[in-house]
Amino acid sequence: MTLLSTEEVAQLTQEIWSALLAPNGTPQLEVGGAAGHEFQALTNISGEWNGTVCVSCSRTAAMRATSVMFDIPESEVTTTDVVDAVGELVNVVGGNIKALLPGPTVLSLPNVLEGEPPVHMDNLELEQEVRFSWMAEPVVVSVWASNADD
Amino acid sequence: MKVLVVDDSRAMRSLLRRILTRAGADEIQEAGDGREAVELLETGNVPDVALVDWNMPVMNGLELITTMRRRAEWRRVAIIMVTTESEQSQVVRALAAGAHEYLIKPFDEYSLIEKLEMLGFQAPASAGAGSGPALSGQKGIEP
Repeated sequence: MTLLSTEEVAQLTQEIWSALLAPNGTPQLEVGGAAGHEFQALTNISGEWNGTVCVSCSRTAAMRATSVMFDIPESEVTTTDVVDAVGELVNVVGGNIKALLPGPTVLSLPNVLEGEPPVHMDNLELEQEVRFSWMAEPVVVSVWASNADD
Repeated sequence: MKVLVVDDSRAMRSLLRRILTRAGADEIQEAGDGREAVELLETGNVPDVALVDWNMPVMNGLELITTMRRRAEWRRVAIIMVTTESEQSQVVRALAAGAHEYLIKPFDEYSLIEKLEMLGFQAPASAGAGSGPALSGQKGIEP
């Protein structure tokens, strides 16, 4: 049984984008688009429900998001800044998804991977995935449930 | 108003700093975890308000609040927990530990200013929900 609907994941992600990344008229996140995996941010949920939330995006999307969050030009954004900003995005997305799942659960600190192929979620089953387009760049939110007890 | 922002994300601290600056905060200090926050507090520069994230390495926000409430010289600091932890049981734990207010990420500027005003700090009319003079004053709140 799917615990999370596409609409729930889409809505909460759009709200987060709007709050954190659209303070100065930055375009909204639109549902639909291709995959993008140049940056992947992961956070684990453990407890009554176990799994992983992943926010992946293109390098351009990551740089833009970082530029907005730090309020600095994209030309001044460093990889360290991107890791911090994208990590905070998955932290907020993961925390809000956690609230929709059976609890109590604990959210881990985020982990951000750069330039890796799509993460293979061994022993995890895709619970939900929503692809977005943000200023024509891909952003994907996926939720993976643990099969450890199967 | 002096504010201490405690969050392991520099990006989130940057966002909060901009909101607080627009709201008229006089001084903003930053710490990346609870331990760093304690070190700043021990310098004697005690803020009026602390915005504290929950999930942080080294010392988390709940541990920081508990530590602050044990020290008499830090008890007057108003604490707002700013976190993604939204379960009711977590809110209760934070308030029981000594937080005055609880703000769930993501939040907008108006929500943060509203929380500050609930604690007695007045924001300028140009800063979202504020209607009084620049953010100032302190309530000397005891939890």
